[in-house]
Amino acid sequence: MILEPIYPEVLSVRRLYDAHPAVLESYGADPAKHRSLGLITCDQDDSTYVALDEATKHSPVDVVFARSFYAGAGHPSGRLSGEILGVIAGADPDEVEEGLQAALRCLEHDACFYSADDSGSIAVFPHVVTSLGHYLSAEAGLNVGDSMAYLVAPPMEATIGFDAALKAADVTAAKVFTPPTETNYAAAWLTGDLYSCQAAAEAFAAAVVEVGRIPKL
Amino acid sequence: MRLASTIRGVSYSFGSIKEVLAKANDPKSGDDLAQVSATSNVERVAARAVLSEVTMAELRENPVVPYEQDAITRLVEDTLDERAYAAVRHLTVGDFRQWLLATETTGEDIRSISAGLTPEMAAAAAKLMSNMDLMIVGAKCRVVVRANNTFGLPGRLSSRVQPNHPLDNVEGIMYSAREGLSYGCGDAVIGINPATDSPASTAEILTRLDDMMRRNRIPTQHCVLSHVTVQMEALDKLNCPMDLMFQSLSGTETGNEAFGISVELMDEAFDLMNAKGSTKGPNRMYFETGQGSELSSDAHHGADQVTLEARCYGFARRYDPFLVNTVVGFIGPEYLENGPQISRAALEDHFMGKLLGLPMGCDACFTYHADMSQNELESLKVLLSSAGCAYLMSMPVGDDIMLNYQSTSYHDVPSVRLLTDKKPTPEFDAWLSDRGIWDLGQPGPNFGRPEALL
Amino acid sequence: MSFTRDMIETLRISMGESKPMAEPKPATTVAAPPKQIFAPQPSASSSKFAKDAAEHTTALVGIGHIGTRYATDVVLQFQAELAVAHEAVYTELPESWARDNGLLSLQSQVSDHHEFLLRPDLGRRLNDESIRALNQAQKGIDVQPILADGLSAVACMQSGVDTIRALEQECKALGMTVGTPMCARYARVWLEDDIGARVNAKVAVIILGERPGLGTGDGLSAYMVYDPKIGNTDGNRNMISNIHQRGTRPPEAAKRLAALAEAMIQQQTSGVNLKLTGKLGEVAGGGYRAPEPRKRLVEVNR
Repeated sequence: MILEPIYPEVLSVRRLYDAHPAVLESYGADPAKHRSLGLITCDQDDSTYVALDEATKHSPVDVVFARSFYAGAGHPSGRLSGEILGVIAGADPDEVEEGLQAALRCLEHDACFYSADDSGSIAVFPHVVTSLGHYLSAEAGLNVGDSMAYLVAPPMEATIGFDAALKAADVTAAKVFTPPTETNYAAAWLTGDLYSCQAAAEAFAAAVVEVGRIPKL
Repeated sequence: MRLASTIRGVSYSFGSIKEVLAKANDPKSGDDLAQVSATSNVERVAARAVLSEVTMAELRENPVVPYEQDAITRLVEDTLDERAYAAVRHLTVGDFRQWLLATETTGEDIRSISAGLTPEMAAAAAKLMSNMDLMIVGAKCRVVVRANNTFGLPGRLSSRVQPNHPLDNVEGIMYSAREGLSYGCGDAVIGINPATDSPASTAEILTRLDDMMRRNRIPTQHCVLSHVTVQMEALDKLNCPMDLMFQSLSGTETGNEAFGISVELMDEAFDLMNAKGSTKGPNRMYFETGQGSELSSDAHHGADQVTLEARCYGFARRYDPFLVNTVVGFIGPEYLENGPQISRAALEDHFMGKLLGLPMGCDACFTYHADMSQNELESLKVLLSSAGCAYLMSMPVGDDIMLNYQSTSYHDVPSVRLLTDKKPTPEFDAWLSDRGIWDLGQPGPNFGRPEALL
Repeated sequence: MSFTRDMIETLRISMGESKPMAEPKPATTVAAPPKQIFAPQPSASSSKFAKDAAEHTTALVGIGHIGTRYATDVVLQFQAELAVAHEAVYTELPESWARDNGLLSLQSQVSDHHEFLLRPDLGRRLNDESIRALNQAQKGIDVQPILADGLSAVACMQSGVDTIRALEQECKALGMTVGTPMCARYARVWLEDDIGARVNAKVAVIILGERPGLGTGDGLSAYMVYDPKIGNTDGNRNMISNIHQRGTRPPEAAKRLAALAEAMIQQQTSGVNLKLTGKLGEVAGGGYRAPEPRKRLVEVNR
């Protein structure tokens, strides 16, 4: 089947409603502003980055820490590690709870990878963020509310895909992460209006599938 | 004052506020016995329609027993908080119901006007409310009191351990009490109905309970439910420990006479408890009530049993009690015939008690000659807990071997807590956790192990 | 719901995919069953507690628990006891029973059992036939004993005759005159006022079946009043309850009742005003006696 979804699995969700100031500080929070933390580990880092950004749209939380783990979910340090730890911080437990629920909803119903070939050994992330939250907009140097095509695939497939995406639509590259990322992929953030982002993402997905079918051309 | 309404073109008129109040009740065998019920369901609704337009001022001016004839009417009228009353006097009963149910109206708002309500006003509101209405408002109300522990906080369901014995065998009472504590029961009070009403026996049981509570460092209260005069003698002459003093109350002066008490006597009892009671307080009294008591001693003055029950609460609040509960199904099928009537009465009583500012609980129970099944009774306990009822009773398998009726069991209390996500009082909760009986909302390793208590 | 998922769904179709996208993993997965499940048993350690407690009380303690509920055999025992109690409620005193036991037969104004449960007012007054029957009874006596069904005809039929005969003897032993022993059907406590006034007794005693308890219908209560007349209330009466094999046995009850009657006649009062001092205080207190074990009602034959 073509572009079959690979749904993310949330491995662990925890709350520190009254986190120690040293923990707050070392994970990027501000003890003067933040009191509570919400933590998520997951087996898909890019889906989680999108979900954390989504959290900031439903609650006044900050994404204070989000890092991908080397070699990805296939080589985790433990059964709960996956390939990312994301941490949101808020002034009180209710804010953090709202934020976590929004992130978990996104991981269940929205962000996910897709299988670019029948064997399932090539995964592609052709995601359209319709409206950026506070986290990704800042990371990408864009505005809250802008649309963004968040495109990820393995090194060869991604590179061919970026070229196809940029040529297929009226988009500009906000950031390109040449391979290898921590998980040995490549990623690009392209921006434009929503329909341009859509066209870019579609072109990206189609190109990645095509490289999988014809590896040598 | 014209009291009439029309339904489907047929006109119904009523001779007095008392009659309107009575005919507006849900069906009750006690009202039938007193011959004050509506004669048809349509007349019932006609009475409710009239009641919905009666104002709070009109209710104050028309108590169901006249001021000159009744000490309870007098004490309510003479001590009514005029400022709180001024806030509500203009409302019709229909408006009042809506204010109680409105989202913006909080428990604190309700508490702020409680002292300005007469019992007739609380009863009138109940008569216009469905069971779920009664539960929603009941659940909002906030009445918090203190003796040895803090009682009535939101999110809490407490219980009385009732380890009665037909011969007042103190060893037997202690075995049963330890069983109850091991299931997480007893945070409201450990209270015994004695088979023999004597000061010596009252003092002996209280002393033994006090020893057991100290040995195990249990944060709760004790009480022996003999007649108030017997408890007074035990406290005053025998100087026994006494955390709470108890009495059954009725809603009319003549009803209270049949219970062997008067306002003067209760005032004396209250003063004695404040002087010599063994808790830090400030709340030290425990009252029980129940629809139908006035009629059973022919002291009802032609009024309905719901209004009369509310008047018990008007009497009780004079003493800022720690505990008040209706013993809803105890009085018998001649007053509450079956499951639906008993359940309705429980929710009415809880609502009215809370509305009038009491830390209201309920003995959800039946006698074996009433037409109620064990299943219906179990459901009622869940309804009461959802409605924010402060406490239930508890005893082995719900079987009171002295009073011979079916009430709440030791096992029911943790079950209902799990179902409705409620906790014991905070001090008791901490003690249960410490003893491994109940931890983080779940049974602990010592749950149901009475041998773990001394 | 998701822009990207809808977008990809459409894209796949245009790329030649005919099958729809697979649903996300179900929220709950059904785990594989274990080889065999074992039913939990209630903790055995409580049975020592239960044995110790049984020497002092018949309350169902030390029964253990399954979760927060009862073990199955406890449920069955409880339901059996409840059925017994309900059966006792609905048992009626046969019309001829009083006569067959040498007691003057009376009946209240109630005509059937359902009416009896709902109309306590009717249960407090004699019917016309019974009023006429009282013409045969002795008048102007010290104590009028009355046996009645009350809420348990079963109790009346089991220990009623023993109790009323013992009471007669004890009263006579204290030098009091005793009226014609009688038995009333569909009777409430306050019927003793109607009867006592009509036979002009100083003290009326009604011994009637108590509300059945769990597993039992055999308890009697005795209510006594000085100067029986219509208008007396509960405040005027003294009461002894739990007269049955596991509580106060009939001979003891009779002694206590006779002592109370004597005190009432001396003090010329009853109820809350009666002073329970001296000999009465001793008699009123209990003594230690080990309870009889609760009967096990349910046995399954397989």
